[in-house]
Amino acid sequence: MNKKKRGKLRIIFLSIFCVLFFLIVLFFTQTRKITYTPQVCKDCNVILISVDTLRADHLPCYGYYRNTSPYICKFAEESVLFENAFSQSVNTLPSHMSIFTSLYPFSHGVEYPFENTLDKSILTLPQILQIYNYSTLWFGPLDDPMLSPEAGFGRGYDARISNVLSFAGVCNNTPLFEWLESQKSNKRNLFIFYHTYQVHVPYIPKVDLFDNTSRLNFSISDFITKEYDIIKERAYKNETKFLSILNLSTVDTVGFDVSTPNLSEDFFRLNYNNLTIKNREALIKAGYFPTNFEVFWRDINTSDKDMLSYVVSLYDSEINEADQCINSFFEELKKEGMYNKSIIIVTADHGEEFMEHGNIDHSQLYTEVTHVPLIIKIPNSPGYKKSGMVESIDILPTILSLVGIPHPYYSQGENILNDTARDVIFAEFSNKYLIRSNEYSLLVDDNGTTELYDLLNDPKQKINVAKDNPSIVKSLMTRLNTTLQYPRYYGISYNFSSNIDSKVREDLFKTGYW
Amino acid sequence: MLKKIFLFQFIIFGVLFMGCTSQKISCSDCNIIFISLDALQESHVHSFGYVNNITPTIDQIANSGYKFTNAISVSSWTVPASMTWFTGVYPSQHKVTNKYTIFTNQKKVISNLKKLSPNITTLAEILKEHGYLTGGFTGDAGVNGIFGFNAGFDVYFDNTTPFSGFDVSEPKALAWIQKNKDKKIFLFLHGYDMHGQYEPKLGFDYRYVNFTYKGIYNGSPQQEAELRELGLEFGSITLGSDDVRFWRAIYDEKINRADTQLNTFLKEYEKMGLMNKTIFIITSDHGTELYEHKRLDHGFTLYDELIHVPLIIKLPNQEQGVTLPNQISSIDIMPTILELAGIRGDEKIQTQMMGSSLVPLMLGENMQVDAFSETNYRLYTYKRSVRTYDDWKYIYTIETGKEELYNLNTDPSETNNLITSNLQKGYELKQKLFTWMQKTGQNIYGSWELGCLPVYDGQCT
Repeated sequence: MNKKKRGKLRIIFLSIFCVLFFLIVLFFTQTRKITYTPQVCKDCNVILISVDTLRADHLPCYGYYRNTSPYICKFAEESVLFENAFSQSVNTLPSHMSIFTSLYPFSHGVEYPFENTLDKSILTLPQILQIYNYSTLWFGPLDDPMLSPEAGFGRGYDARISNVLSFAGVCNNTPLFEWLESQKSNKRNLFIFYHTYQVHVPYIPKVDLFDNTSRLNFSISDFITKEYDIIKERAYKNETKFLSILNLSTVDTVGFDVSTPNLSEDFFRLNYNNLTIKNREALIKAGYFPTNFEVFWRDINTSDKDMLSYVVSLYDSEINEADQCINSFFEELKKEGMYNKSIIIVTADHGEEFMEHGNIDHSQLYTEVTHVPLIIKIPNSPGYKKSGMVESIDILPTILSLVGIPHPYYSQGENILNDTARDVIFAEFSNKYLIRSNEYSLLVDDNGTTELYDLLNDPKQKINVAKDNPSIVKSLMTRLNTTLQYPRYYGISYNFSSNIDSKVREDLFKTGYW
Repeated sequence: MLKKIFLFQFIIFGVLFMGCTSQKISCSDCNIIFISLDALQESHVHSFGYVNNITPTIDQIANSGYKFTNAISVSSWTVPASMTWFTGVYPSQHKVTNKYTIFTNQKKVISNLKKLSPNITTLAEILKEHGYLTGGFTGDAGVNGIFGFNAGFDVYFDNTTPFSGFDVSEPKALAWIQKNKDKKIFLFLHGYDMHGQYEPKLGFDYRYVNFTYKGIYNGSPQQEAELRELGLEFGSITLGSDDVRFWRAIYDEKINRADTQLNTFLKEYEKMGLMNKTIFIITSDHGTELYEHKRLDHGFTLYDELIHVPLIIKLPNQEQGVTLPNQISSIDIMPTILELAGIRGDEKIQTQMMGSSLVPLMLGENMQVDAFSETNYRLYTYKRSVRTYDDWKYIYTIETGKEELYNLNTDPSETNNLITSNLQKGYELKQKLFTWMQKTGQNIYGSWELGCLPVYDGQCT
């Protein structure tokens, strides 16, 4: 009896102790934990949306004054918004490959169109998800050299469907909705890569939403005319070469059937939409086909401030159209009851520059081009913002962690829903490198140019303070060199036809792309 | 609810108990005797499950010591596997992965630990520094001091006919112990008795061979070498089931003879009155292939018959045997010996060692680790493998890119490659293996020199 009583007392005493202990533990974990770590969701769909060329600071949820993206920002309220996400390059090809492989560009080695192909030993995100029985869809351009199947973007998809109508940058979700319908009967999780060039040059919005000055009259038809003009100009400069190029493109029967140099505008227009990747490749290789960037900016005076701000308003209107298009996708997902069963990521491969640093398009490593939106919606998880610096290469490991799949061994990113934040981020493009901490950004190139910016006092990166801060330069340089020692996972080179020499390749790359 | 509270209490008490009364099984005054039964396959030891009672001496130690029934060697041949015991790092890290580093007609350079990895401290060096008199007595060949095995040993005997047995190394060792009876010693005792290149001085008596065997084989090292070379050249050989039984009987005889030899050693050692102040570690560097995958000998593959080895640790005065089925690796042996000797080791040593001490496991803690193995065998193959704690195995052959995946629970003989049918497991294990390869500095994308790096003299000339 006595023993029993003592036992009871002990139980009570211990129980109180245990409860107290538990409460203390709870208290500490609660106060320390700032974020919510989501459960692994093995039944979730994964939807990765890449809005090509969307700079973060042009979205109201990233502080923009224009309401360019009401829907994406509403979506952001129920998602994790990464305030300081940076892309690994400023060019569609290497940057997307970094997203798909969790490797820095110098590590995956896919940096030049037509030239590099991803090593077979590296699996892309859809390939990994396919192993785990996801039904995978590519919804984007099918024959774009920057996102070409040959480079490795074709791997891992059950279906590849084009979202490009007569012209890149027009909302066209119908094929996607049809595919979603077709997937209803199968029980597999879905992975959708949704890409849009909507906000990329040429900026030809349907509605001029933010500025009605109409300084620039530019229709799609005008664009094609200009493109034709440029080809013609270049062709007539050197007729022999033009002939051989046109003959080259006849190798592919679709597209231009131009065995004679009489390439009329009508003919060009007629065949424009049938241009295959091979046609374009042949023309680009020969230096005849202009980039979209060249066509669009051809007659714009970039030193005209009013004109520039008008162009920015066109870019903003395009963001708004992309926002509506993405929202129509969200609405469809909601209608089909899939929205709450999907991990949805909205991001961009790079931003865009409007003469902030003497240039247009996207080729420099300043904030306007490397700072990208990154918004991740996780089912049954509250929305919040994270301010720590993260990189595009973190997207793959984060997705895999969310669906409970081990990271690939080569992954250079991390699950950013953990409380880890990077102390520096890295980006590169065309022999230029960026190492950026919360306080400083260091930009160097192979010619020995060194720029250091004090981000706290000079967020626009106008004053190079490299000379006054040799020790900061040195320490960031050390970080850069350490990063560049990471393994390089390539060796196989995509067999690029012999009629293009390195000069042509370099020129092609320097001029941006079309 | 009450049950839950009890459970919680139990856990808390458990933690407190462990913390306050942590058992002590280290012994800083003890002798350490480390015995390598070269080429002993785990499944041929009676106390580890072999049907034939051919290992009474080993069994007696096993049944009164800690018996690790899932010990995996880091390699499938002597040089790299044994060097890992003494360095605590994987073969790719100690770099003694081949007999030669350079091997041309003009120039031949023997691989040596101190040249290839000058920053590595060996087990014998640490023990010597901590007051042990250190002696190694071996059968030469793959554990010759020239590779760096002699580092830290006061005495290292390797000057004998290559592939000698315990009959040679034991008397030398016993004489040395006798001379240093009053000192604290670390002994490495090694014999090739079970190895394909070994034969008893007076020949085999064929004690386990079926008397009806009419085949062409006699069990000689020459015959074994011929079959081994054929297997290497063509990938496989063809033997009749009688022949396989014959070679298995020869192997059993070798094991039985080694066991008897071990008994002699222990009896003599006991006479010196040192038994109750001695920690024994008995293991093997690798197993032996007996046609499980249509070859003889070892080194070429990383199947279980080659990497699953016996491991026994017996503490002074221990009588109660403990069977530990948790998978462990030979990479764990060096940290275990150090902890058993009560040596913490400086930070350099701690960061050097890639394994973890088995002492917590011996004290009842759970341990779930994957085991990694590798072999760069002559010019034939470069293989890497991971064997998971839950019995899956993935083998990657670098020169061909071939992948193999086995579920050892349902397919212990590793004959049903699941790489194309279980993609997820294949993916998971590949990530584990390649993560390990990166961590151990193995450049996956570098060019692999497929030159001739022979294991045995007289080859590739």
